[in-house]
Amino acid sequence: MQNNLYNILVPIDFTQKDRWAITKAIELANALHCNIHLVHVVSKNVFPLLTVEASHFYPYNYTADLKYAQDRLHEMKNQYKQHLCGKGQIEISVLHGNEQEELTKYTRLYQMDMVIKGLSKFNLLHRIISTVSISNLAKKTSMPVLAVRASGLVSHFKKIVLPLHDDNIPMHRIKLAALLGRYFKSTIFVVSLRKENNEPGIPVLSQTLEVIQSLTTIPVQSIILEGKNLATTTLNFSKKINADLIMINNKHDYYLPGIWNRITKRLLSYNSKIPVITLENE
Amino acid sequence: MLTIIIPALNEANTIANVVSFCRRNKLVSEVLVIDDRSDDNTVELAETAGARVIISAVRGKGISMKDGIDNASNEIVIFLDADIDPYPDETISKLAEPLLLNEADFVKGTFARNAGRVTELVAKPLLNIFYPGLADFSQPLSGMIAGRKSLFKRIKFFNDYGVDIGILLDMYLMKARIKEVNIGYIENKSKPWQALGKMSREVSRAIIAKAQQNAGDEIEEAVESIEEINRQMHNSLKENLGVHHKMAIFDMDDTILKGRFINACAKTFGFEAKLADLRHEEHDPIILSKRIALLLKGRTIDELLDVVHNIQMVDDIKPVVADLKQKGYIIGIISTSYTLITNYVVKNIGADFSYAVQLEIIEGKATGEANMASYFFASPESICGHAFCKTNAMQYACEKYNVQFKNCIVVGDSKDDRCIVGHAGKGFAFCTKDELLGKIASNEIKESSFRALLEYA
Repeated sequence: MQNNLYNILVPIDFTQKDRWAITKAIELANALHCNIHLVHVVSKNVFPLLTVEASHFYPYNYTADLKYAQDRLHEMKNQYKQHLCGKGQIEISVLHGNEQEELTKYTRLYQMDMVIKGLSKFNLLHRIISTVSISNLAKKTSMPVLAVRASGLVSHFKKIVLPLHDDNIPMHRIKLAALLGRYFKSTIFVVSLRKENNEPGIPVLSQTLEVIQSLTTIPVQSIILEGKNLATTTLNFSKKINADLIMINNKHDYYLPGIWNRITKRLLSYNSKIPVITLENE
Repeated sequence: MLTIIIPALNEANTIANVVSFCRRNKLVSEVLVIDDRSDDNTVELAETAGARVIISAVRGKGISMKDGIDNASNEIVIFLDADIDPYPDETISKLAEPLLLNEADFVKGTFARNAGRVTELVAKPLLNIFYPGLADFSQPLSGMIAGRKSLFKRIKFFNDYGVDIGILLDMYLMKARIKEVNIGYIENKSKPWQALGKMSREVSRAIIAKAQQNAGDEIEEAVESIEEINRQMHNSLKENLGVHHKMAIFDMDDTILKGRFINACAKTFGFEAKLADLRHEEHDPIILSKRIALLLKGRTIDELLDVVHNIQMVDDIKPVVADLKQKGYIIGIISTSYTLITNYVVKNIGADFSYAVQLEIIEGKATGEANMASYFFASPESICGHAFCKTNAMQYACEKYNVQFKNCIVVGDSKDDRCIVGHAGKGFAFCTKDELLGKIASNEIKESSFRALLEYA
């Protein structure tokens, strides 16, 4: 178990969403003394659905884009470094190629510990155009991906909601929650849906509670929720308690209800004003 | 004419050739070998080769050099190392020429070689700060020097690795004319890394000592600069080198040992029922540990060691520990048993350290008191926050040995080990009966063997 985050990756696409992600990254960097890597990938496709390799057949000079991106990132670095008050630094990089692949390579090469992505409200066209979704990022990078929306900005993670979706203890999420909880003096809310057979107790809930208590002294509560869809029920509960962070897995249990949402892998992050961390593995 | 002075200690392999090389030079009228009481036949070989041998009264290069100066009959003296063979043909003439032509009072020989680590990392940065005038010397620690006897006589020689830099600094402070000459290529053996620490310390001490003797107003500023550089360098090294350090931590009872020490004591000394009652009544681990220690009151060290001696260890613990050490792991035991016992096990398996509860022993007998070592207690930086926990001890060990948590392997078997196993980079549940420990650990070992660890190490 790592006892700190050292490097946070913020993919930059020069939209309004970058600001939300960077602001959250700075909050974390100031608390955990970690570095922030602002990375832009130049991947100009003539047709958005074509891969970058296909676009090589069309005349396109990316040098100008690289230069432009470099300048913009320098501006951002200068703007945001004043907000850093810990030991962390802001690093900037411009890469060229397929965005998803380049970001994945970068996370491995420079040992990133978390990816933070600004998220707009779900937009079908954007979802089709974008090669980078929360689900794909979490899967490809095997990193925790923190999705933040404009209204999700808070300066702490006091209440962390950790939903359980099956009978396995979510060790990776527990460890990350323990790490964040230690710094932000959080309370962890472990939640689970009541089973259909209306069993009085859910063993995994009490086991998860015991594991968290074995690993940390962070206050923890376990709650059984009434509902059919884990994603919406968790969201509703989190809103009610005014939670600051939800931690989920990249599993279909956390897709919003509806066939279309499942096809487009629409995780609850897309409907949450509360920041959501998605982990690929348990 | 010239006097060549060769300080030597156990240089039987090279001394004869070095002396012969000196005697072949027509400018040389005297070759002095100052022997530092060699254990081999350096003296006989040097005499046979034609040198005058002087046995140094006290060991140390500085004193040998001074003995050489005192016995030299010529005004111009050249110091050569006894372990270099062969020297480039022109070595002596190149070192002597600036002196003979009265162009210099002190000559430092340089030679083509890879930059010395202590020269580049210690000597040059310090010279830059304290003596910018010497910053351009390419090999300030070179031992091949030539100079005038009258100047050497005014120098107080350091008697360690600081001697060569000390001479250079004294010459500089006496405003002697100093020249550096390149004498060509020399096959020079790098010092083993173990010697580099001592050399760094002694070289830096020599430079700083000389700077303090001649302190001006600028010394305070220089000291502040050095302290800041040192702090930053220390932090940087700690952060970056920590990535390469690895540690494997074992629980002792029911892990390394095939049984629990205190259970074996209970059986041997007949307090099994009392022990069971205590475990049933007392749930606070600190109080439980102290109350259990009372059961051992009056037992001698021999009796206690005899108990642990009779508990079998997991068969492959020794070879696995040896293999882990081979792979660069620091091996430790963290246990809530007693240091008397864990240290015994540490010695038996070839581990590096153990952290455990200290059983108070006076006059060879246990007093019944148990002292909880501070490393088990939570500090403000405690990663788990538990007031009394093995994870706190692991954190202490990681700090001490500069190991990152993610590079720690931890092997445990019981509920007590959940936290430490969960926080380790790789946690192993070893033949555990605790279901949750199995879930917390990244891997579970079900057979009584540690061989599986090597796959992940």
